[in-house]
Amino acid sequence: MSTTLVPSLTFPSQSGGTSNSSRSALPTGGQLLLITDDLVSPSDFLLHGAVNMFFKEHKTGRVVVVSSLDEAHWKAVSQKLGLSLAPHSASGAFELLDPSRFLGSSPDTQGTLRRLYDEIHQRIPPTADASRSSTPQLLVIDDISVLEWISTEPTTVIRFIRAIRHITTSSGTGVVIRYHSTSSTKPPPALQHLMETCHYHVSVKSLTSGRSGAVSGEASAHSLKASINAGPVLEDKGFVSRPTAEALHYRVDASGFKFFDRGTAGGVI
Amino acid sequence: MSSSFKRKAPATQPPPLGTRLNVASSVLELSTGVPSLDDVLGGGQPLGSILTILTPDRHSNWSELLQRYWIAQGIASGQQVCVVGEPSCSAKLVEGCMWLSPAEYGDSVKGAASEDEREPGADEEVKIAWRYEGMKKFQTTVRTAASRRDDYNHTFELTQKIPSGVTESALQSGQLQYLSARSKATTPPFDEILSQIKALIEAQYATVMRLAIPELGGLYWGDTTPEAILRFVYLLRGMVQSTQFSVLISMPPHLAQDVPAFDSRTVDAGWITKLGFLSDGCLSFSSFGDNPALLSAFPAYHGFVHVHRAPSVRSLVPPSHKLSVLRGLSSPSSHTEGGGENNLGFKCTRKRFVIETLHLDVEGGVSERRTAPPISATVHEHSESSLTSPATKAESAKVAVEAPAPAYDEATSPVTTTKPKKARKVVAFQSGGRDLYDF
Repeated sequence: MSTTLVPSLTFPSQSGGTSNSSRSALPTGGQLLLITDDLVSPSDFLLHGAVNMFFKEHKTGRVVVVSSLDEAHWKAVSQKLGLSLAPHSASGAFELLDPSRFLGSSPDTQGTLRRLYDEIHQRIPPTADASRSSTPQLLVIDDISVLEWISTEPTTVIRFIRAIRHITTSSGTGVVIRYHSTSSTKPPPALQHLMETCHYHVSVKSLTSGRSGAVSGEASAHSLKASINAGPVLEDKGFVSRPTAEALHYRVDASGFKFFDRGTAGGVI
Repeated sequence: MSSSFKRKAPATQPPPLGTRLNVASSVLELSTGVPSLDDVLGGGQPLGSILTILTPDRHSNWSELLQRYWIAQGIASGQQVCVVGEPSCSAKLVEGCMWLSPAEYGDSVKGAASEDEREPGADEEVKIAWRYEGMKKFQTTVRTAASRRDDYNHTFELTQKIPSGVTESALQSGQLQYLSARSKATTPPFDEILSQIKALIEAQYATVMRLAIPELGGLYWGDTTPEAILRFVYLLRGMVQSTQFSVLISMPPHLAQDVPAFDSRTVDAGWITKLGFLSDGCLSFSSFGDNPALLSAFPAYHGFVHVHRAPSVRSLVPPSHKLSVLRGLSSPSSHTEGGGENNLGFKCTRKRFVIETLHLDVEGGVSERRTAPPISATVHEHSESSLTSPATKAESAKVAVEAPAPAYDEATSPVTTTKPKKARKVVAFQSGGRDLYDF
């Protein structure tokens, strides 16, 4: 398995420094990575890759995953990708929160998101010095788009995202958020807010030629406004963006995923 | 020195009734009742999954046909079956199910050329050029399993109706049950149905159960909103994913489109994508019923099959990508180009419903040399009952093509033969016949 989620995609490490060796493969210290995908090319492999990579990189660490998929699914897929989640789950280092458990009878999801926020906040408490958090932490939020689809009030999801950003910044937790793109002509309010709030964006798209057995899709990496507008001191100059025109192709199989340049087999196919 | 230690072989328990282990994902799965649909899904529908069927054509009811196959398979396999909805509609759905073919335990391997489309003189030995003798016959669909000793997949015939004795005994024994909202509240019964399903899961947790939900969002469900339907599917998936319950959801035609028609308001595009993400599997069966052009282009088929999402329970890649012969994603490809997915179409013959790979005919409209007139397409008003009967020569294509000047006026036709004309040999290219471009 590669050392980064997407080739050349690295993030500023929590310890600071501008050299490449001090960069991290996963978001840290309150950085938010947004992953968008579509139905033909889902980005499950990146979420599982992020969790596996975190536990391989950090012997002591904590991962909280907000997903409606059950623990058996996460364990089975992680096992196939080369990591056993069972010991991490038993020790409490891997914890799964199912948003559907908090959905009440009311169609309004405001109460649901408040309870979910409380559960996350309980597991990722703020620290005195977020930049020097002793235990690395990663928060993976999978169902944010679903929560928007079932919500009658779009602002509830926006408030939830804003609250999550606050607690992850104050606790020094890296965040990976996945959002499912639909064919809607205008971007939904939650996606617009995520594009404003997150620091980095990985866009996973299907090929325009349709499904292929050899190439699963293409991925591009971008720096978002939150990162760019952070100012000259905080701006991430070491980030290597990969625009859509230079997107990488990838192939997913049962045992993992590999990236390769467009038009090249790269020893993959 | 030989050790006295004997490794204890793990006891392999047989899978539950009517299920088998998927070779790619090692997940238990059950059959949908349609072998070609099982193949498209990668072997079958996984236990603990939701499969959504969308049929946007308002003039046909393919979703009801597939629900009936699914229910009939469950009853024939001895599994528990539960139908959700208005009780009388649920009973009517079950009573109209197809049933086992009389020759189920015989040789059911017929191949692609079904009994309905046997060419005249097929029983005679066909002379094939020597270079092609070793090649297999061109297959457009998967064969039904020869063995009937297992209870996974049965051969159903549309000409056979489920005996009333079978449904009555299934009801009496509790194998078949109907689930409906008990309260007469005006609000949509989503929450009540979910709580009943939750109680059913708690009561029969270790049982393999088929939960059929026909016409979700239709008349029975009252004034629904897109959020309510999506929330229902989201919560249902969370309930069943750790169980041995499998769910088949079908939607009414007005909700089976990418821009669904809700009474309350307009909805943006992306509805099918949302359903696809919330379900484990999502397929559309788009009928040609309202499109005469497609019907004439593909006379042997009744519609397209679109696989929006294939189930991938406990795996990163759907087993369908690797195992499905019809989808063809695992077919060998060149080193530069990937293997593209096959186009799929479905058709309903006199005896069965089948999904096949869709191929365009040779330019000119004739796929092979014939000595008899080709089977032509007919635009049907009621596609549901459009069963391609054995080639009746009286049927002919009637596709209305408006032209500035009629190419051929029968009233002034000079052809009034007194002696019978010899049937013309039909080949790919006809020099003397009328062409598309004749005016």
